Amino acid sequence: MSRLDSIWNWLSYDSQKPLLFNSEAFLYLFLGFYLLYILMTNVRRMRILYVIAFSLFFYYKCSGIYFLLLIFSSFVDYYISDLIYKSNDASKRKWLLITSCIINLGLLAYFKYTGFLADNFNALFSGDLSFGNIFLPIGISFYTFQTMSYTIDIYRRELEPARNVWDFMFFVSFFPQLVAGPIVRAKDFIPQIYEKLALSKKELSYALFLIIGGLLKKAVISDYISVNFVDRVFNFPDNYSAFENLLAVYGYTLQIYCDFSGYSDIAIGLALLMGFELPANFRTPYQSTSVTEFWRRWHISLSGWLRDYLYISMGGNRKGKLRTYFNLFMTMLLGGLWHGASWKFVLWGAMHGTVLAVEKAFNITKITSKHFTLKFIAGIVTFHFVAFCWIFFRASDFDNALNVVSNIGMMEWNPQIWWTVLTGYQNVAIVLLIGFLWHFVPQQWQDKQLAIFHRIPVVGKMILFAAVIWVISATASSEVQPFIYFQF
Amino acid sequence: MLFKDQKQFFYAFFIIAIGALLFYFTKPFLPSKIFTENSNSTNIVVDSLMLKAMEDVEQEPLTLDQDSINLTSPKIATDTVSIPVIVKDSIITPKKKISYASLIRTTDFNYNLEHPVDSAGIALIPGSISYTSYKGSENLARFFEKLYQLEQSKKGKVRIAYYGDSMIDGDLIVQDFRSALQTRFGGRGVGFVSIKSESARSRYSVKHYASGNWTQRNYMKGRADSLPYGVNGAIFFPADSTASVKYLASGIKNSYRLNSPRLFYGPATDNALLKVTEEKDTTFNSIALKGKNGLNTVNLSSKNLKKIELDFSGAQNTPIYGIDFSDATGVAVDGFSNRGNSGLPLSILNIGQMKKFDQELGYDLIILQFGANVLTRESKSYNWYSSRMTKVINHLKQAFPNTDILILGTADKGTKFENLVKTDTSVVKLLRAQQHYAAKTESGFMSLFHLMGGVNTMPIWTDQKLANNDFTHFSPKGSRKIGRMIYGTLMEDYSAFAKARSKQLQLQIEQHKADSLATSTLNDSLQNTPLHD
Repeated sequence: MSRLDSIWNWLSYDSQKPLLFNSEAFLYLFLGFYLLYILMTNVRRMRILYVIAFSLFFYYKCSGIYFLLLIFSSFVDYYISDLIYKSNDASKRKWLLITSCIINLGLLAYFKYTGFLADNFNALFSGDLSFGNIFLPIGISFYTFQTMSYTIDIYRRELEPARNVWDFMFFVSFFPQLVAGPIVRAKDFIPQIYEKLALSKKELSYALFLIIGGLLKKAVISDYISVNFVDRVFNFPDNYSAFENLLAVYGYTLQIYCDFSGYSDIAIGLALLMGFELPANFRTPYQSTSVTEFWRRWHISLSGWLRDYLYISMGGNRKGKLRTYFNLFMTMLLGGLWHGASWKFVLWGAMHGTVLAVEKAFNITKITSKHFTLKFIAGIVTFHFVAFCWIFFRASDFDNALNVVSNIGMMEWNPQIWWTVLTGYQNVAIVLLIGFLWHFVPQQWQDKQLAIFHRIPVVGKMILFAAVIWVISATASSEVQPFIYFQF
Repeated sequence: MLFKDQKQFFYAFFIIAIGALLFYFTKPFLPSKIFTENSNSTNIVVDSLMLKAMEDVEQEPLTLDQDSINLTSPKIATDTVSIPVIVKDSIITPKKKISYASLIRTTDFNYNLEHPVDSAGIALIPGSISYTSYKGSENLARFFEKLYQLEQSKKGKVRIAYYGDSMIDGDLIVQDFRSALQTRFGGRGVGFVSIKSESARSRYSVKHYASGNWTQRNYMKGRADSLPYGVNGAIFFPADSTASVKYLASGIKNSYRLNSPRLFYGPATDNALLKVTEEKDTTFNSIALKGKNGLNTVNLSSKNLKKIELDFSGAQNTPIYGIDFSDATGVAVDGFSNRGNSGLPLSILNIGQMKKFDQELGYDLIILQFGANVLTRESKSYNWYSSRMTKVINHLKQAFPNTDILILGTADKGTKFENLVKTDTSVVKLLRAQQHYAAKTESGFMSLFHLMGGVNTMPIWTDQKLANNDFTHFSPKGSRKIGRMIYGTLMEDYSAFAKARSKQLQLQIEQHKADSLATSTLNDSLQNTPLHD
């Protein structure tokens, strides 16, 4: 293969190798991109176009030809919002908003829910609908919500529109949060486009701190335990003992947090390095002492979005108590569906929604916050409720989930067996332990870590960064945990 | 300074860039893996004979690669199956010497092979690939003949013992293979089922629950002193009167019922009593276990049940083996899985006892699916394994003199290289060793690796949920697929056999006709010849 061919291959879309933040390719790409970017700090117009071009390329590397969707959505939403902004005719504005929502949600529905809807239709009416295998463009759920927030905010007259379509496209396609959030609100982001680009010493430290932590969470903890333990148990729960099933549930609880928050942290860090501040997306959610609190600390940008655009649009808590509970429940139900086209996500959302409504109805958060012991117990209960719900989120289907649950139900008190399992899966157990310890250290300690990191001289930071890349690379090339059958 | 305000941006760039460079240049000096696997825990299942064999290997000279073996047939082309000539119940096949070099070689494959993907970016499941080297289907002639007779006359019984490791745990693969054979040739039931099994809980083809006090021994831990294991490689004793076992029919096609259950047990002690509860009955039958022979059987019911429960009493020293669930005609397949089994423990099976089992059950084919546990052990070559398995198979041939043997070559197994999962370097080496001992012992050989599509297929099977994330075991869905493939390949060879067989019959009939015609002509001519001249 000639050198030109290999460069061409490297630049073209390969569905097997989407461009991930924790890949080597991204590191080189970003470095190249960033050098030019910081040379353009003072030429806004060019910089904006440059970032759009890079973001579209980034998206192309993740989803191929579907980067055209981003361009399409940007134009449509920008101009519809512009019409809404300029109009004073209430009904016209409403119709424009509805049109915009139909286009956005229609695209989302087509790409994400067609198969699901067809399956349900077929099941209900024993039909034979089939739309083939529809490719799901990466991040479509995220950027659809972002563009909708722009249009709705303009409709609500809470936001000045972007000055031109390019600025808007810059917001929509901004690559750090493009594929996995946080879901950035237009009103938080667009004003920053017009500010002078700046990065303070503290922000630099914070950005690197987030990126390093995010990489470790995503590429070391999450990736390692999923491949080497969690996936296996969920694929074939009956082959594992009750304790291994339980361990897999804890494992997944950690895995999904590390995966998701790790990616968010990297996104926030990268954006910060580029001079943009994105909202925090996770605040050690498993430390919550109620499900209500959990949703204030888990995927904050989504729960905030659902609150402002779905819950409030449905009437929020302004229409009586019962209606409030219903709205909460429905918001979570739809929020569940947002995570994926399957009934299991609906159930997952419904379980959370129910508990949220119950907590609100009985004012549980107030009761438990009174006493330390109560708070502690509430924390443990909340953690286990959330972990239990994750079983349905992770399992391939209901049967699979119930299978895991019933296996855990067969648990017996036998610490010797538990210890055998833990030592058999020594590496997984160590990674799990580190992951949970990291999660449960008090906020002050985390702040302290940041303060220490901030004081490390530039050379030290370089070495630390090199060490992190090594850890990631050495984890990725570590041997796959072989299958283990214990004899008890 | 032009970029005074942007100083921190440049720091950021340099930290990342120099950090990356630093990593790049120090990488060769750093360990390339953080997590290494050393599973030496005593609680992990691996058969003791393999562990011992592994220890012995170091002292052994490597001789296998140079030797040559006698094969009963020349190299067979992919599309033709040579059929032995069956003359008066004896099988005559030309003996030919073939060198080891014509077996599957590690150099046959491109290990960097990438498989095509579809428009949605999902790798397509590769199709099976063919190979021209040793398959030994001619060595399955006796089995095919029995199948042929069954198919022609719709009478008789064909029985297969399918031994394997965790790949067939919980009757995976076997249940689909069995079901397919029974659909074509008739026969119902899951075959021989042990009293206890480590995979009983996850077994789908039949549910069985042993409760109460049982003591058990099995060949995984080596030889049992003076205890003859059953054909299932295990022996169970109802330690007290709490010992009971319950079987429930389950949902695999052709095994919806527990067909004519028959208990297999060793010499019974006096007063050994068995209570049999059928279905949801509240009443039970009492059966006194009276057999004093090395192997005894008792019919538990003549019906095809959904559920049966056995309670033992006074049978502390009576060896219990298991229950056979099968119809009087058709195909029966017994799945004998042991996690961690390398195949070597089969050499412990007592020849006398096996002959007794063979007498009762009548095995026509033994399938051996092993290797997954050998693969995990780092090894330069699998000569040690090949020579030991040769002994195992010769041992089986002694125990089951009328039974053909089919060796299943290992499936693909994935291992991480850098951060890509590819075919483990040991896979083809093991496959070659397996083909070698198949050829050497004149057994049939079928490569699962080739059925799957060859190099680098396991990662795709894993992606498609056909295999588990250890890149070794098939998922239930993948097991169904591979079970059907094994069946399909066997049937291809069988069809060729059956075709040749009918042709042979045709020829014999024609020959017979011609002979009788000739005789009658001769007689005629004799008659026509004037008796006296």
